[in-house]
Amino acid sequence: MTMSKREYLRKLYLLQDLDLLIQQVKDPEYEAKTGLKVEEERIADLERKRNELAKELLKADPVTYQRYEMLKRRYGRGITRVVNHMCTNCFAALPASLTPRDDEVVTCPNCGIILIWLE
Amino acid sequence: MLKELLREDRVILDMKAKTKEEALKELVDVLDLSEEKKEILFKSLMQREILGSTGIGKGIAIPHSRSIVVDNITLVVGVSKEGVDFDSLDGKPVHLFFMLIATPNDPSMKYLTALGSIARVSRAIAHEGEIRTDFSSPKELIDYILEHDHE
Repeated sequence: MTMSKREYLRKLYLLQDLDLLIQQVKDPEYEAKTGLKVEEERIADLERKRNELAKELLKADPVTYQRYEMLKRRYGRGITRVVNHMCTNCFAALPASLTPRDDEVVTCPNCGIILIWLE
Repeated sequence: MLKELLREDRVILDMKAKTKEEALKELVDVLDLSEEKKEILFKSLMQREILGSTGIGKGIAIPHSRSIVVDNITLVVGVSKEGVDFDSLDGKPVHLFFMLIATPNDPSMKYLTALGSIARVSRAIAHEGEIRTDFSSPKELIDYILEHDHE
């Protein structure tokens, strides 16, 4: 793996942002409620961009990437922020020993989601 | 719904921005977030704009995003007296901004409902013709918005 874990996680939540955006604009309720229509061609461009990033992440760390995809199917997202030493997916308090690491992707011991600490 | 989201400390009465990028940065800047989180949020909002402007026409824009950086659904309202070129559908400058940010997981559909409410209020404001920009206090702007919130 050539990129650092921190860089990897930054790219992973960018991927999640793209996944959420694609999901949002493809939801028929979105256009119905907002009146905002997104052209199919633009969604296709965004999906291409998403898939390029996914390919890069899969190559760099296949285990973490596949975990992200599995968690996304389960929870609707694969990565979440730690706030006040709490997982913001399942709201479990995290063990004091759990801290951000440069050499390993950290996951929630309760729900398994990938954790990120943002300043 | 909108009443719960409108806060006097999340209002800009006289935006300085001249461009889309500057406007989004100015709106994001209102939030009590670290520079890192502001940058993430700005990129997320810009990504949505690439898909097509959220300037819905008649001087109103609704930039929006779901982002990892917020803990709750968040609304910022901004007024630009001079107007901002936002690539709006009708090409007109934007005077009234509603920036809505939601958390990545939104099981209650609160985000889409809020977006729908904002779109409805925007249409009601636009229907009157010229958008007011002469608010003397955040409360006055909030009252103006709520006057147009007819469920």
